[in-house]
Amino acid sequence: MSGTVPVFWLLARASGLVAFGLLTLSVWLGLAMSTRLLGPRRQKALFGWHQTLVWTALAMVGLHMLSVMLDPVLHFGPASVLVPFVAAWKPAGVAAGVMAGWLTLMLALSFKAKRWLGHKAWRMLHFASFAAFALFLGHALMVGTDLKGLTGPIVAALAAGPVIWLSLARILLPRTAARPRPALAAA
Amino acid sequence: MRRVWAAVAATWALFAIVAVLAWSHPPVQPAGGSGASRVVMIKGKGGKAHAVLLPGGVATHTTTHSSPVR
Repeated sequence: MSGTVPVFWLLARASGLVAFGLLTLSVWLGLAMSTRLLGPRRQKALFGWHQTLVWTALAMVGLHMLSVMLDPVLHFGPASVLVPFVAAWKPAGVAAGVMAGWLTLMLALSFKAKRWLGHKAWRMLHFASFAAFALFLGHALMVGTDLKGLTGPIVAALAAGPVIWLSLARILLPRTAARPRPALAAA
Repeated sequence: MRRVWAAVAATWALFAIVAVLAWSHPPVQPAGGSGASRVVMIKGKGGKAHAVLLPGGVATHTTTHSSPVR
């Protein structure tokens, strides 16, 4: 490796960071939609961006997995990046990423199956996005090379802060206040 | 169009981060490489091969003092 640029290692780190950023943005958008803080008119556009960001993030997760497998130093096989706790290197941290990836794929596919699932079941399933976010964050903090030291807690606070704030807003703010009733709107 | 914008932005972000990492930081490899434990085959008495586990960070050419050099 000496004298050469570790292309796959750099790609693995960069794609992981981009995927984390996109997923964080997607969670923020999802919660912003749920709280209706940005107004009811933007709901459709937000929903579109929410879905697009998830699929773009999953593409980056795919690139991250491929880069990790192609890196000549890590020796990660397909099982290591697809099955939790199979990886020999930091199995808990890698497993967090693997499980987060599977959860996110399930959530992304659930958009397609929303009609079949029904709105209530789809919403219940969507609560898994909190677990996926926590697992992604855990994966980034436990195995992320670029989130060592003080950078890790700062990035975690920046990513999780709005998630906590929006979740609290979703729980505490009355939903009916943001959604005008048809009778009132007509009056 | 939204998907195209997202893909283009993500790709640019990816290349920008790769460039910054390659330029500003020396490549840091995780412990899976040189620091990981390795199994090496050594020949013992009578030419029998034995598998020996080398702990992480130990080079394959590390010698012990049990075999005096003559």
